[in-house]
Amino acid sequence: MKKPPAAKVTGRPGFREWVDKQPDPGWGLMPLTHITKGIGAEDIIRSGRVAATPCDTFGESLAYFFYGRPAYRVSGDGATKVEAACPYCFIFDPLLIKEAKALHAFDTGAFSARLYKHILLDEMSVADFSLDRDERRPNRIISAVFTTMQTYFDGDTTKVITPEKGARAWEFHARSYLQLLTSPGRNEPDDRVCSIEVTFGDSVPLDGHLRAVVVPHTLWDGAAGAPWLAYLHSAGVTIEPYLFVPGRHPEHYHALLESAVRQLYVKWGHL
Amino acid sequence: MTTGQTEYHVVAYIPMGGIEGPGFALPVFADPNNHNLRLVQEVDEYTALVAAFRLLQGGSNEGIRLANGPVAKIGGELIYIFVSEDGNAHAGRLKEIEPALRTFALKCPERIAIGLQIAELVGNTEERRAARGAMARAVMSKSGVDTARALYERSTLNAALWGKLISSAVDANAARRIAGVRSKLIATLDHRGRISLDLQALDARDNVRIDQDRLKLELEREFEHMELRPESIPTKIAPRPSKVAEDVVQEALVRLSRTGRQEERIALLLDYVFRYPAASVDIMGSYSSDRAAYARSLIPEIRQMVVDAAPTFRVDKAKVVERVRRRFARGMPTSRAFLLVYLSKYLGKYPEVNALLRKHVPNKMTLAGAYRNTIRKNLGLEEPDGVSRK
Repeated sequence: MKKPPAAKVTGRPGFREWVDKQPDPGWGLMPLTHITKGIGAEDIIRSGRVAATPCDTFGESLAYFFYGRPAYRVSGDGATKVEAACPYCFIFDPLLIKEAKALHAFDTGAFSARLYKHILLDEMSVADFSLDRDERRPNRIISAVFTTMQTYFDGDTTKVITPEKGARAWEFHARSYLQLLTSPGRNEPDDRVCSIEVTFGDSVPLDGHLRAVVVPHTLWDGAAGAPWLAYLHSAGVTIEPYLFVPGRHPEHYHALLESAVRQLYVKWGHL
Repeated sequence: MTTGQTEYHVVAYIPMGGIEGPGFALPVFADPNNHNLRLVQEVDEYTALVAAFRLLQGGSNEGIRLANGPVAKIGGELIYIFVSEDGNAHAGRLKEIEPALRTFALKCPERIAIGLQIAELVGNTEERRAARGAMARAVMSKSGVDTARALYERSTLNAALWGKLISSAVDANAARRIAGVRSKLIATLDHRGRISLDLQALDARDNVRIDQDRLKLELEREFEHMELRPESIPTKIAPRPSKVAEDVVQEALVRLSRTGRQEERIALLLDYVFRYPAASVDIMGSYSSDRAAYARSLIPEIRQMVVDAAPTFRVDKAKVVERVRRRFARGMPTSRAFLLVYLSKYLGKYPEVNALLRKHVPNKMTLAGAYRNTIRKNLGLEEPDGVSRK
């Protein structure tokens, strides 16, 4: 996969300037995650790539990932996705981020669905919160805002630095971002607002990049495992099943998925 | 406008375990106010009843159509859909479809993963315990001990812990607080079958109300400590090699059956395991015994090392060979030289094994010294003894 040519950075520079002021913690990069539903997972594995699909927010075809956290994109109309009822998570090599087209401080889908409107001014655009393609910026944000990678992974906004401490009064975008993370009464974007988004302009091949897939246990039993998963397993990709029992709350599945991803990260030394 | 008495009809379902074959499916409801919109039910985790209906992305194209589907309403029981092995979709409340679920479990015992879902939904303590154990062994046969433990000792155990904590909360608010931190509530099963709990993330108001000793006892009743070893894999769920691995396994079995000496079979077996890491578990699962007693005694040990390494395919070749060499040196000292001949012949190509074996080339003065030159040659050492450079 080729690194895309440098794109002209749009949007106001204030947020990026604030990020670049933060010390580089010197941590290793985190893996990238992509959550989908069962049929989406099968498509990805059979085609050998995460396809770039048309995106309303940016008006072009993109493939979406999150930095470290197993979050999933909220849809534009706020509707529930099938993946919430039975999620599958692909975990990619951290170095893949070097080939990204853009990084953003949060889920841009939630931004365009106006889920952040209670904090962010109408004049603020999604491009204002772009981190460009600088792969050092995610860890700078995490270190400055969440203090530890563990806190970021947990999405624990109770430990986020206060807006007053974290940014000066004139650093409008940084303050708004911190307020967004700490604002009480949010009921929707909590998972996505603290997940750094990584987008690719081309389809992302699995070969050479995919490290693990977290799947419902029904896909990975002894007698009836999915053959397309067996193929990945043969290729050296870790298959991590989680207990999937129907009729549970989406948060229950997400907690099990998160727990499985956490264990893999601990084993691999990322947490 | 909808009220608590509004009825929502199931009009379709989305299979969750793959399009083909039996399994549970996600019920899709028609929006009573707009028939082009589709909804999914959301459970109240405290009462286990329907809390809400949420808009499903995708509209009326989502799912496989279901005629005369059951109805649900807020505050009522959840609707489940199960597609049995004959392709029939059984839709209804859990009690209504329980006979179909139990019939399936009896007719299709090999569907271990679905059996576990059924046991979790309608089984008693013993049934859940048995189904969890069977699933862990099935996963171990496929992905190794680490993955089996991840499913059994983390995912399944923690899901049980969260379920007990939420359902026993004093009120709905407490249940919400507990659910909000569930991913940080952890139960651990030790090697004696004892459960320990990490509930630090709980709000103090909830923590004081929990009888941890009783909770631990309840979980210990449902989770036995399992010896997750390859020997504990029941024959009926023996690993089924993937298509990629099938040919390799077949070839290995044929060659092993035609090989006369047990020392050579062991070396050949290790060569197949090292050469085809992705098929290594399948090879060891298929070659479960050897016709010679000593080689037979080594198989479980080799298999354990392979299974442990399976998730990453990073088997420590030198470590495995050294263990085999030592076991032979102790138990079959007279055959030690033969083993070295075959280990060097088949495994000398692996640098780390070559380096190891070079340290064990027998001395000329020993009984095994007769094979010294063969072993040296196999390891690529310059010339056999006695051949001078010109």
